[in-house]
Amino acid sequence: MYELMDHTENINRLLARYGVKFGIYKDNQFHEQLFPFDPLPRIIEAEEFAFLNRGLSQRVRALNLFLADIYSDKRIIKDGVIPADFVYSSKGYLPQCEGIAPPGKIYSHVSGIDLVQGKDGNWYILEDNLRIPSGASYPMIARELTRRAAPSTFSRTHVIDNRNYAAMLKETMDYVNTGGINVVLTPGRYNAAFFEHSYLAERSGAILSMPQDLFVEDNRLYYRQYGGNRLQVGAVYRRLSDEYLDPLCFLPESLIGVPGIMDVYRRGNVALVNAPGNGVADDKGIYYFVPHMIKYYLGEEAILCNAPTYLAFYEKDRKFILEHLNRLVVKDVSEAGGYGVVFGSDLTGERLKDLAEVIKAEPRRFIAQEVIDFIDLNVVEGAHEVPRKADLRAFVLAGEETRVWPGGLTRFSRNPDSFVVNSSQGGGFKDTWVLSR
Amino acid sequence: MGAISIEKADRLFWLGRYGERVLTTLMTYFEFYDEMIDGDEEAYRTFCEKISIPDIYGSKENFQQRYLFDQGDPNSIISNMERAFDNAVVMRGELGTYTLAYIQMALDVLKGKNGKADAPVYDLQQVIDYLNAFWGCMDDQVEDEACRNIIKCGKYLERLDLYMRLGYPAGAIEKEYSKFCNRLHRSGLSYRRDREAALAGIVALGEGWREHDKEALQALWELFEVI
Repeated sequence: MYELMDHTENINRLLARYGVKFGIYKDNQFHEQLFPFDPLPRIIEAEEFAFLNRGLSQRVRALNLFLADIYSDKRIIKDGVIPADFVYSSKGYLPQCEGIAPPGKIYSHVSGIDLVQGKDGNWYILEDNLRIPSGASYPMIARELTRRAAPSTFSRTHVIDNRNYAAMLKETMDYVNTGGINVVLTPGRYNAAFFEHSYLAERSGAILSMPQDLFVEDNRLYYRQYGGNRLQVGAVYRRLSDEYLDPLCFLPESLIGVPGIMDVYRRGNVALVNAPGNGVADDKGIYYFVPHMIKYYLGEEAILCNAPTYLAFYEKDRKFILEHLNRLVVKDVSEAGGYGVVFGSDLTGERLKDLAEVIKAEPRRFIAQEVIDFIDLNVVEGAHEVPRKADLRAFVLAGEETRVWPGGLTRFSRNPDSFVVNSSQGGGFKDTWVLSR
Repeated sequence: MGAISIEKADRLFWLGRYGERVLTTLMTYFEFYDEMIDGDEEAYRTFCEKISIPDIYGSKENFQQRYLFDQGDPNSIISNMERAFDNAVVMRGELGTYTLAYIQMALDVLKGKNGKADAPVYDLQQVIDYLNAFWGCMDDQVEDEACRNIIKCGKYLERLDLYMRLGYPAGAIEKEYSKFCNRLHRSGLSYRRDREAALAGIVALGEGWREHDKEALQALWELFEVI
C-alpha cells in the first residue's frame, strides 16, 4: 500500500488529465477545482464491512418504507412515532408528491449515508443523503489509476474491485425502468458535480441529457434526437434538485427543468431516480427519528447508531442544548455541504449568546449533536504522513435488492484543526478498500 | 445513428470547428512567428488580415503573447481552446474519458503558461501534439459513426474556411473540400444543397477559385440552415 505514496503526484496528475474536478461558486463566479486525492486508502476488513452492510441496508430499507408511508397512509404519524409538524414543516416534504407510487415502490434508489468511526471503534451515522448524493465517481476513477500505479499492491491484497458501481447503477435503473432508455439528467456543465454526471453516464451506458434534450408528449417522456427521431425514456437518474425539476409542478421560474415530467412520473410512465420529495427523509431533524423508523417498519433494533442528537424543537432537548451549547455541534437543518455547521467550542461568549437566541427563535431549524471524537486517518503531506479527520460516504443502491457498494468515498479534512471534510470546504478524498477476506 | 440530441449535434460540430481552428491557426502562427524573428516585423498584420480578425495588437511583441494567451481576446488561441473544451466537456459519454483528456490537456498547457511563453513554437508544440492525439483517438475510440461524422464535418468546414482565407493552393482546397463533403453527406445534418453546389462549382475552377474566394466563403457561411 505504501508504494502508492511514491505515486501521489502522478495519480493526481492523471486525475487532472481526466478532468476529475468539482465546481464551486464563490463571489458569484464558477470555479472548477481538482479534488485532492490521497493515495493511502481507508481499509475496511471483510467482517466489519459485513456489519456495515447489514446496518446500512437496514437503514435504507426503513427510509424507503418511511417515504412510501409519508406520501400515502402516514401511519407513522397516526401512530405517534413522529410528530406531524415535524414532517409537514420539513422543507423536503413536497405535497405535490402525495399519492404517487413510484415504479418498484422505491424512492431512494441511490442513498449516500455519511458515517464516521469513533475512537471507541463504533460507527456513527452523521446524516442520510437521499436526494442527489454525489461522490461515487471519484473513488471509481481513483481505483482505476491506483491499480496502474501499484499493481503489485492489488495482487497481494484482497481488495474488492469497486469499479462495478456503474454496473450496479445500471441494474438499479433497469429495475425501475418503465420502458425506454436510461438517461442521466444534468442541469449542465456549471453544476458542482458535473464531472460525476458525465462520468457515470459514460460508464453506465446511460445518455447524458440536458433538460432541453427531453420533452413530454402524450404522457410519455422522450429524448429528442437531432435527425427528428425521438426515443422514449424509461428511467431518469436526475441530478438536479426537486424544486427545479418541473416548472409546471415546482418553481415556475425554473429554466433547467423538463415541463410536464412530474405528470409522466405520476402516471407511472417514467422512473425518477431518486424520487422527488425524498428530502423529507434526509432532513437533519428527521434523522433523529430514523432508529424509531427502523423499529416501527422493520421490527428491528437499529444496527448502526446515530450520533447522540438533540432536537431544539422539543422543550426538554432545547433546554439541554442551551445549557451545553459550548460543547455541542449545532446544525441548521436546511443547509448541506458542510455549511450551517457551528461548533460551540469555536464561539466566544457573545456569539454563543447570539446562537442561543436564534435557536430559541427558530427551534425547528436546528439540531445539536455531541461532537463525536472520530478517528484520524493518515494522509500524505510532502514526504510525511499526518493524521486528519475523515468520514465515509457509503453508497446504498436499492433495486431488486438493497445493496451496499463495497467501497465508498472517504473524505478528509486538509486542515489539522478541522472536523469539516466536505470538498466544498477544501477537503480531499481517499479510496475505500473493502477486503474480501 | 446513436442518441444524439440537437444540442449535442451542435456541440460536436463546434468542437470540430474550434479544435481545428486552434490547430490550424497555431501552426500558421508558428510560420508568421518565424517570419517575424528576423524578417518582416509587421507580418502579424497580414496574419490578422488573412484570417479576418481585428488587429488590436499594435506591436510584434504584443501580438506574440496576446494572440496566444489573452483570455479577454475572443480571437486568441486560448479563447478558442476554451470554446473547444466547453463543447467537448459535455460530450464525455460520446467521446469517452480517454479521448476527452487530450482536449483537457491541450487547454491545461495553454493555461499553465500563465500568459507568457519565451519560445512559443517550442512551448506550444505540445498543444498541437495533444490535438492531433485527440483526432487520432477520436477516430479510433468513438464508436458512433454519426458522432464522428458531425465532429469531422465541423473540423473540415473550419479547415476549408481557414485554408481559403490563408490562400492555400487549389490542390489543398480540393482535398479538404472532398473530405468535408464526404462527412457532410453522411452526417445527417440538414444543409442547403444550392450552397453546396455553388461551392462545388468554385472549387472545380482549380486555381481560378481565388477570383471567387468571397463567394466561396459566403457559400460556406450559408451552408447550414439549422446549425
